[in-house]
Amino acid sequence: MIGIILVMAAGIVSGRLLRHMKALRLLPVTTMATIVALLFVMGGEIGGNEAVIRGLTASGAEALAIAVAATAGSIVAARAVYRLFFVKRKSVAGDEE
Amino acid sequence: MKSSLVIVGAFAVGCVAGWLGLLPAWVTGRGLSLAVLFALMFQVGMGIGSDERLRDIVRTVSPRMLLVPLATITGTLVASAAVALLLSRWNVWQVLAVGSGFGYYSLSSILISSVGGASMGTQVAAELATIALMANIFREMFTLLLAPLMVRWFSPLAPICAGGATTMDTTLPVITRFSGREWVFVSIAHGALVDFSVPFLVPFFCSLS
Repeated sequence: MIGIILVMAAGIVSGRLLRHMKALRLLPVTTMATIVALLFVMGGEIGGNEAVIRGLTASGAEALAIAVAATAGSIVAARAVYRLFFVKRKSVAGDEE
Repeated sequence: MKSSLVIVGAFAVGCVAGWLGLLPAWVTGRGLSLAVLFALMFQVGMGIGSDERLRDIVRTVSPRMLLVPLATITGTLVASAAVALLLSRWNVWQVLAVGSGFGYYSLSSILISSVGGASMGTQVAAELATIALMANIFREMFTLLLAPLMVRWFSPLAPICAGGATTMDTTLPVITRFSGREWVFVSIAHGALVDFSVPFLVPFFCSLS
């Protein structure tokens, strides 16, 4: 866990230092390629796992329940914050001018 | 949306290849996925660090602005804890680990499968990682598809909070379109902050389970 955060922090610093390098324009492409590679490898781990495959229908229903709850919870909280802290002021979007 | 399809496709192809036993052991072993995860985190960091908008984004961060990611995180965690009562197979911490992916499906599922193994066992972690992948893809899809209704019924902040960690990239176009352009920087700053919380919260809840 600490390792992951340190690697990300190292990335932020090097990204900041190298931000004028043209090669960085390729970053979205390489990031996407890495994500695809990672998901492929993960798929391989999961697909090779008998028990997970057997439970896939149940997992899908559970995933849907969590997604609905998480989304609903956050939009209800969004409305509360909007009504309490954003709606009365004329300026929106966090700037006070 | 297209990139989500590519990602889901890569996962599906990997699943089928693994299921058919086509992959050699060094591909499916723990080592490779962890190495690729580190490569990904480094690039995610570089993306944040090299973003020309970084200064503008940091400038938009006012105390009031911080309430938006706070609403996202609180709303998500409270609702996830509530739904955990209905899911008999998983304990509350495991459901919170899934919920605290905030739509960042690639990272949250990878974190659960690599870090969660230590506390809940490789088998359970793999299963929970699959749920995290699906749940967080669903969340992103809900935001992409329902943004107009969310704005109408729950305020312009609703798709931002619903989008979670994705509001600085994949869901930013629909937020700009339906919440309005004045919310762009709020959306990006929100995405960056929620994004940043994922590698802390997911392993934290995994360690409690």
